[in-house]
Amino acid sequence: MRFILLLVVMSLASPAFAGQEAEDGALVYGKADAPTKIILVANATCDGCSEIFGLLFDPRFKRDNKTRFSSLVTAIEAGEIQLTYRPYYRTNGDVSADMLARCARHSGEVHRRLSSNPDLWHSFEHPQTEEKIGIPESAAKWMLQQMLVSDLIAEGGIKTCLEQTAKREDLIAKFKAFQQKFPDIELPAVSINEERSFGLTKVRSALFAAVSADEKTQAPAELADSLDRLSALQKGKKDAPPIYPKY
Amino acid sequence: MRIAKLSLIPAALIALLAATGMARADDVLEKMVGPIRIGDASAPTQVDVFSYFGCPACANLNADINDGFNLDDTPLANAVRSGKMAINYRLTPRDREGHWAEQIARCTSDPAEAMRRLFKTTGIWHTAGYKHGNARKYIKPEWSYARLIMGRVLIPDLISGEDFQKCERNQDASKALLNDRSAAMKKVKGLKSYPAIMHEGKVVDLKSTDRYIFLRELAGRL
Repeated sequence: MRFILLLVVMSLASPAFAGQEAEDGALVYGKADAPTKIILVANATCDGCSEIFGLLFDPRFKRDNKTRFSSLVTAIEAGEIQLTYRPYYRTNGDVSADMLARCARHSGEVHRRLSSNPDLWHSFEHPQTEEKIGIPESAAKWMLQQMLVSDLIAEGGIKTCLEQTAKREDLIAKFKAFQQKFPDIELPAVSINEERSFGLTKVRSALFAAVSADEKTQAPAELADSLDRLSALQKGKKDAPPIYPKY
Repeated sequence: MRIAKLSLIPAALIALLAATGMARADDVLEKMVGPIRIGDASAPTQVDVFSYFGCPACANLNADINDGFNLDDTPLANAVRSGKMAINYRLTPRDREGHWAEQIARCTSDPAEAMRRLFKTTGIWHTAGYKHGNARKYIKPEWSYARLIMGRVLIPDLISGEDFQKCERNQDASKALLNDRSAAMKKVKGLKSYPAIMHEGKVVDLKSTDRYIFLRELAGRL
């Protein structure tokens, strides 16, 4: 009985925010009637995508513990922005990361987490030859287990999720249809109310402009990380559970 | 008489093989002694750098030094290549994986190059961070994974698979390295943070980014 109660409490405490899957395979976050529509084209392994996922799915709060650190997260939560994420696959790893995001309790956090260090689970650069070295499959699965299991995906969930062959084929087919329209895109790319920007610098500026935030006043990600750790240590809340964006 | 002479041949062969083996074992032990040096041992200016795998600032300093070497006309590269200055790396591992990695780097044909590659990839084989909710979390891969990546991907051109295994299992080499390290560290005083630089017997107290600038300026004055 206690176990059932615990399960009920856990399910209430961690609702799923996996985005709504559109017919074309894109993931949609936020309210449909939002005045600003952002379409993001990215993947978990592209250069610069990590920063963009960080801006769009950052669960952290400022020191007042009320305001989100990212003004974009605030805007999506408030219904001012609707975000459509269109994954652009370049490798099998990108497809797997996208599938895991769809299987997880909070897909945005999966994008953010996996893209923050693809060296761990996807590939890394050889220090001498600079060629890309793929992480062996068994090692990659172990890493993904460490990174996602328990808070985002249940034990054994990674294997089950990645073995959905029909789902994988469906996602690839939908991506190919998209790729035919846009054969070669510089990633990350965004369309904000149909105005397009390509590459990290332009995409970041466009996103900040969409929420009228001054890019220069936003702390760089690394500084933000250290400030956050410091304030968490000071308050003794180092292990406080994150409150993920509610979309 | 002839039979007796013939019977001596296998014995002599065994003795020769044993001697070669001992010489190789001694070679390995010799490699465990002293710093990992970039430059000439007889250079008039010797600078000691104390660092360890898993320390991000140590990896950054190592990358700065090696990036400086890639640009041929930097003062540091000139001073080291002309034999005026040498950089002696003293690794002070915080864990057994770091110790084993140093032991293997020393067994390679080019310990400084092996160390450079290992520093550049600590995020792959030693400790790797990633964003996790409100903070960063760290994963430490198992040694079996670390050694696979090292032996097959990072340094196979510097050490053969057989030598890699022998070196890794060499307990005597491990003890020699530990003894040498503790003897060297006993002579150091005033070491507060890593990476640390010691010049003319004194630890230079510097902020992280100033350490490479110190080395570059020191080389420029030579």
